Amino acid sequence: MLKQLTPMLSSPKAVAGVGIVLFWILVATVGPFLLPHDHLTQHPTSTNMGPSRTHWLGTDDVGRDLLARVANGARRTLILSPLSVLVSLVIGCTLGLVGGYYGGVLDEAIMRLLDGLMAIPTVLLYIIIIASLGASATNVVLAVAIGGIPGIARLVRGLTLDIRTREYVAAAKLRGEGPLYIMFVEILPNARGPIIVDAMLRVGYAVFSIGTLGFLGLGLPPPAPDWGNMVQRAYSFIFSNPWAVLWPAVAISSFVVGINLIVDGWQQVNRRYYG
Amino acid sequence: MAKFILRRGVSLLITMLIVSVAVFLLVEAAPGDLARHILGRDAQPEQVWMFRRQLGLDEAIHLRYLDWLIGSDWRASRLIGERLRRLEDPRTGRQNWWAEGEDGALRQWQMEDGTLYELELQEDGSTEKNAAGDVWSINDNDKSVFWGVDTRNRAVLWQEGLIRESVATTVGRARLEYTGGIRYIPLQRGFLRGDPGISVATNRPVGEVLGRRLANSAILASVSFVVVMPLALLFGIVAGVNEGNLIDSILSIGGLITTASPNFATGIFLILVFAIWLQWLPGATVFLSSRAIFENPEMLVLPVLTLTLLELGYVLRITRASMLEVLDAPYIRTAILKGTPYWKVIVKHALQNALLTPITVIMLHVNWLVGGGIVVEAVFGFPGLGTYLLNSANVKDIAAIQAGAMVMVVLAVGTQFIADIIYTFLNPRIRYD
Repeated sequence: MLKQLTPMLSSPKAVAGVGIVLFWILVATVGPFLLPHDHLTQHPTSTNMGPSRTHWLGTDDVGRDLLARVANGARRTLILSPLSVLVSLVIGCTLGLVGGYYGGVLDEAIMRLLDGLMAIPTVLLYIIIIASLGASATNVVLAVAIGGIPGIARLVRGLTLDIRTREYVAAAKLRGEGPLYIMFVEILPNARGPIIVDAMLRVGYAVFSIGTLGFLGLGLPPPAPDWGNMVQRAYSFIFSNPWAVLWPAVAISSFVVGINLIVDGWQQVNRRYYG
Repeated sequence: MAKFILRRGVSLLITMLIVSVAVFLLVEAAPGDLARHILGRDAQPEQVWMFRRQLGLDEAIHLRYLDWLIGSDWRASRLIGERLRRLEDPRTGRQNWWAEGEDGALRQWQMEDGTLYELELQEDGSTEKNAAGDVWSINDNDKSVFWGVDTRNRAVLWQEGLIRESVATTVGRARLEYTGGIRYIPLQRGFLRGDPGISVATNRPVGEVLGRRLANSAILASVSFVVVMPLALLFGIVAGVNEGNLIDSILSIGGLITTASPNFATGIFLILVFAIWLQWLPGATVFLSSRAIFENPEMLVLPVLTLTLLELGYVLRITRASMLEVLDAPYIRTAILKGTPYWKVIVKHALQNALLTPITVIMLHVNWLVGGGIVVEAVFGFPGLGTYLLNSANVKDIAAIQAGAMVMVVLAVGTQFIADIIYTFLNPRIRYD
């Protein structure tokens, strides 16, 4: 694995991306312990302030420290986004494997269902799901996960259709392995490359989606500092304090750009070395 | 070709049917909240139950789905035994439902303190109120009942002598009334016939508002489309031709950043720069009249710019990749070796083939654009379909969410269908049979 990763150092794009993502991971893990302020403590004397020596990034409308909130929001985002991708990976891979491996009516039914799901614009899907289930961390993860299922299932199905014709799958069949073993032990690991790249991109997209949900008021309920709902709340005070809007917005953008840079660089390097 | 279009069309209809069922079920999943929202937190459980009943929410789910899709007037008409007609009241402009008797008279009924009254529509639009005669019939439970149309556009099953509390809603508020209804079917023509029901939040038909909101969104989307397409294709071609140069790096990285930034963040950055820092443009859209867009077109600049940036990066990256692929092709090398001037090679040989992919991708990208549109409308307070849907979701306005969501899905799926057909014309190598 490490050997595969070293060529990435030759791509400035990938290095920049890894740097950005590592920075946010660092902020999320150790940030809240090192920072002088708590993300929930309100400082009534200093509300809606710009950056200063006591509050490095400024404060929000009830005087909470923005740096502490951004760092705490990073933690939430970095847990929820991969989690939602994991959920859609589990469901999407299963659907794709089953459809691709068995084919026939089952495949047709799965594909039609996914077509239906894909026909709904993603943001609309989120709105409908959250409107009917209510806004909570679980439902946000669920909504984002459901939105990602069709894409993953289609990708895995395509890969399965190709891999199931290989000799080692035929060999496994001859050995008398069951379909479950063949799907998850023979086919899935051999399809991992494109799936991992796709999943990486999806983590970025999940950050994007969770932020959007928060901004639309459909994300995590307050007072939890989530980048999206921080933007939404501060947006009402944008004329008196643009900083409170700027930081969380920059946080989301930079993280997603970081992930995209990694994937871009990774693909570029792979083309150069193996392609 | 015709066969392909037909087959795609049929599978499209099936998809939309599945989606409509899914949207319907999902939105229906939490209707209890709606009653709570309208009635307030102090509502008694019986009142919530009664309110749900009056909205027709205790009818079987498949019946309600059909009511919503193709209308409830057929079903109600059979129960009442008379033809139902929807007429516009010339005095208020509202649509009212009437039962047309065999004598041609249009009637509604009303029950007060256990007595049933008959309201007959007069020439001048007013009604004449009389005690209803013996209209009752005996049902299976030996109760004396009557199916009729009430004054609130519902088919109601009344029970003789029954006095029961009911909740009348006016714009988002509720007051108590006493009627003797035991079953209610809200009358509507159905989504397919342009009447997706009454919004509980505003107490007005959803169709009225939806059309206006859709038109606003359409203006926003089409202006953005006209702005973004030439720009994105041009930048993509320039980046592709200059692969590896500084121009390419700037355009590619810029494209990456604009695609990866959430739409609301892009919108807010633009507001920060142009509305707050430079103060050149308004940061929100305020609609005082329906022609506001044409009177103050500068309101549109920032929303359009946001949508443009959202699409620009994506299309640019696709165009660039497509251009690179084409420039690698042997026939381009041949053309250059032949001594054709470089610009001529690009314009005459490369462009035509390089533009095929981006053009299809753009059209397949409508889903994404619709989603982006919702967010951009929310950022700028633009009164389009997206904000309508969001506001409806916040108050759990079932009819409005269902209708708005379905319209969006139909738009998205319909455009993809058209994209598919155009693609077959553009790319002669593809054969469908």
